[in-house]
Amino acid sequence: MIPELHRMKAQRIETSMEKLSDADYEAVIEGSMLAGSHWLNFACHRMELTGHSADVMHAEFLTGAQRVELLLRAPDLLNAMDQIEAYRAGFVRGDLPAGEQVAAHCRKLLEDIRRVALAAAPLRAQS
Amino acid sequence: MRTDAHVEKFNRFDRLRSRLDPHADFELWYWMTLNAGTALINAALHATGVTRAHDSFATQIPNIYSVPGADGTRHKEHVFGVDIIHVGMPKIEGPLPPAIAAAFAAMEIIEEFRDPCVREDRLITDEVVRACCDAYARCVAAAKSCVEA
Repeated sequence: MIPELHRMKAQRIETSMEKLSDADYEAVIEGSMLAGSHWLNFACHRMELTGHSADVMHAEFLTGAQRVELLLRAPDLLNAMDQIEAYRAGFVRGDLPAGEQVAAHCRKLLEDIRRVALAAAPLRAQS
Repeated sequence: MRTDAHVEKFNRFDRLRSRLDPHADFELWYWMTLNAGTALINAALHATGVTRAHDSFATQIPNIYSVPGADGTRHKEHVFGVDIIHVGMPKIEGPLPPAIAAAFAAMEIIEEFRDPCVREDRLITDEVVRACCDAYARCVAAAKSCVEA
């Protein structure tokens, strides 16, 4: 999907998340994962790391080479996505306590993801 | 996860779903529909003995679960025959009780909209919302009949 459509989808989800409180932590975590995944694809396409027809479903499913590229070029984005996705087992599919704190952290991570994604650009060789 | 914990998760997802607008908030509304249905199906699978209630939590990778260690920390481990992530993931071998099969069939209809409408840009129409609502109602009714039996 083209970057602009990913941006629109991410922003739609972020708007819906404004209706939620951190007590709604499952939906906040899932919204962060979904919006974050659209920002991840937006960034990967803008960086020319992936083509428009090769969207990634989860950061965890990136290839090893793509993860190395992202670690070098957008480490905060990859780290934030990994954290959000890791929370899903315990707080969405599991019933660990303190989900509200995790939701607040996910909102912060999503802000970081958005900031990095919007600044993403192709890598140009430097002499 | 344990059966009663799945039911509690279903109740939380279902309440969240009811607070979201199916059109304006489609992506999250849909995701709560998906999670609610899957949570109740897991409870039904445990209640009917098709899968085991267990202290593990499903990760994004089939058959790999977050499990508690003796020191209280959690680690990833292969576990089989416990919670599903999605209908068909992991695949359950053998025939299913009729009510579970009905819940699966309804959930498969919901799953068809996942990638096109959430991860891609398929238009969210009244027909899409209606199909999800109808399938969700069938899934919940069928799965509840197993849990409450």
